[in-house]
Amino acid sequence: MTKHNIKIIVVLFALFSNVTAMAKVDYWPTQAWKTRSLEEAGFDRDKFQKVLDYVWEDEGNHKSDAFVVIKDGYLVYEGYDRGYHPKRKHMFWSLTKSLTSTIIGAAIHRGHIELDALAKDYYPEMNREKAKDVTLRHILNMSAGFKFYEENPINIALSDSIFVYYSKKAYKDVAKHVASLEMKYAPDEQFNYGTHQPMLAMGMLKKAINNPSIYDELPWELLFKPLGMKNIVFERDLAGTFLGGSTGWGVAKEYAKLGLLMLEDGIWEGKRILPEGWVKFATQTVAPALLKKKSEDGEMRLNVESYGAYWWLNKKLPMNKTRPYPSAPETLYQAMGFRGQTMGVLPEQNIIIVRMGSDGRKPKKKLKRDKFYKLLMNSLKPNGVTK
Amino acid sequence: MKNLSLIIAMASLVFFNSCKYTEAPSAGLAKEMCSCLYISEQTEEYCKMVTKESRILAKWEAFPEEQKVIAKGVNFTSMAKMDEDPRYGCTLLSVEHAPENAKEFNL
Repeated sequence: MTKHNIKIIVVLFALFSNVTAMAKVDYWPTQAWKTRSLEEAGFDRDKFQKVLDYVWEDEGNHKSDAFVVIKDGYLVYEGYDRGYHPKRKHMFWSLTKSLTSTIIGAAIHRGHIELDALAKDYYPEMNREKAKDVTLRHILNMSAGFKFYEENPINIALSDSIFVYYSKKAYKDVAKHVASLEMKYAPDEQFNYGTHQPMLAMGMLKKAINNPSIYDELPWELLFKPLGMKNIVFERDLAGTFLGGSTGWGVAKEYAKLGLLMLEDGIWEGKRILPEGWVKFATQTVAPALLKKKSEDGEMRLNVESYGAYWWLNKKLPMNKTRPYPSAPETLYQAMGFRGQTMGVLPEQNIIIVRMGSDGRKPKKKLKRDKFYKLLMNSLKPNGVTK
Repeated sequence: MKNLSLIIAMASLVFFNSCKYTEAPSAGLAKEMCSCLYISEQTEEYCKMVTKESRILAKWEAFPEEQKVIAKGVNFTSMAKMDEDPRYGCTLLSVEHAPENAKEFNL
């Protein structure tokens, strides 16, 4: 055996062991999830019933439409209400942002765009003070610095998240409109969650590709087809740019595949879909701007927030007393959206939950996620933590 | 009672004028109702529930054969329509200034 052959064998072994060592599933659910009973999956049935009692508690409170639990890559529960069923598409609202993050990651892996690409190179409107140094990375970290009020605390009708798509000057080309918004901060100076930034991210990707026929198919080619997400709808504006902030639609069981892709460090069926290190960047690294400023410095900051790249994290920030969801592990990361849309990924427990809902805006009309996670964690038998 | 109606109408007018973009209710309702009816294929009852906020300020009409929705707000009329490729859902196609709509809202 020559030295060259030995090298090849060593490299192949290293590659193979790298992929298999991380695999948290013993099959790939591209076609469909295999099922397991609650007991086989390590849940206490009586205690899991308490989770269901809370999720489906309805009258006068939150309204769950779909609820799916995946453990160790197996479907252990699915339920639907209000006319939804496994194939009826539900609006993702801001779950779309996490989908956008993953599409951008896959596009970076294929070389379509770079994480540190400057927005001004695609949108000349950005070539101005404070905006000229904004990169895709800042935009993914919700730290570009635009003056933007996602949700007006006084009146929802005055929220920029509505105007960013539904105003006369925005709707024809939303990303271009975002690129012309007033800047308030330099990049990475201030975290400001908003629907505008994923809109701009998808606009940058479109400009980088500069070929509508490729761009129009890209989410399917990069992500939806490989994962077997057959029921996804991704809406666009009149310019043909995907509205990466909130207008994705699909079914809970398919959205859960996105969680599995993240648990598998961006690998699906042995093929790398996301760049190495992407999952860490998106779901385990707090956006730098969040660590720079105390929360009281931000006009629209939540009391407790922890964010990566279009994924909500559960890490305690230095200025906060607790992590956002104290009952859930610190390693939890979530896609979250309006009306209670939630996908929770619990890496240590190897659990993915997707809950879609039609919750109201008042606190008492919303699913309380910490209570939900407390019940979920309680429902796991002591040996239910498998990884 | 008449006075109360007048006060509500005046308050609404002040509110609308304070909004940066009065087109948002009709545009939002057209798009959201289009998506709810033709992507999710949900019932009108459900779609009304999830568009409650927009419907306070706008009225809508669906055209199932064309899979489109037209919504009228106080000063604007908007239209959203399903794309020929259903993977792309509904697109907001037009947002037009329509001051005559104010009459329908008794303003």
